Amino acid sequence: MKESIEAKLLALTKKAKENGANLKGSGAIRNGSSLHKIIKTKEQAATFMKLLQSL
Amino acid sequence: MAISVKIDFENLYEIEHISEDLRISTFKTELEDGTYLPLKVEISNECHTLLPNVYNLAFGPLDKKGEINDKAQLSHKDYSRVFSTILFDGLNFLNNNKGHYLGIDGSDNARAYMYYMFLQRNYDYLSKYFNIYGLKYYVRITRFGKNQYDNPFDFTDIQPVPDRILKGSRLPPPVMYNYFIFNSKIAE
Repeated sequence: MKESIEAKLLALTKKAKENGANLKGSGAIRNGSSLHKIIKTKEQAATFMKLLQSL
Repeated sequence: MAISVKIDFENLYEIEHISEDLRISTFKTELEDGTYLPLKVEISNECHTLLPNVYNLAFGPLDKKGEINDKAQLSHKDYSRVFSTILFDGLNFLNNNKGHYLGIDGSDNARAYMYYMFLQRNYDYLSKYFNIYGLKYYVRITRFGKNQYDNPFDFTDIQPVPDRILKGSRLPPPVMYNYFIFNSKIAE
């Protein structure tokens, strides 16, 4: 690795350790759209398709 | 509009704030209109529900609730600098957390394809620092189906095991990976 890049990485780590900002995370784990969280199995997909066709 | 991105860790925005655990950082990007906009990079503090040791990396401007809007479409003045900064931040986290992987979600087909092309075009550079993998752990609803009510789900296209991305490997957009994970070669 280039020395300059290594130095930058070390500097960033040092900045975090010495002046680590009190930054808040959302806590949310992002896994794509909300639909993908619902449909994970073939059975769920079939149910969803029936629902679409009934509209 | 095609965006050409060249990853270069010598061309970075200054990371203005970074948390002590290296999971959250902010920097300002310059937009095409000359204004500056804060971007936040957040690495989840819990590993992915389906992938052990993989921590999701999200990035984007903040919405009204102060959360990352990872679907925002911005016109950056220097896309290369933006993505270089994000990946550099990720590299730093990985180098300080041996055994961890970072994951980036292609929130839609277009973004996933864009990320894949970025990876391919910068493969030589990125492969000096990272091992890069792709996987398809969920089915996109609009992936297949000619008619409106044809079943668009193709469960045969699921690929839950990470696939090492090689230079020059081609994958058509309809069957593109939807999640990219990478770890640091230095921290292996």
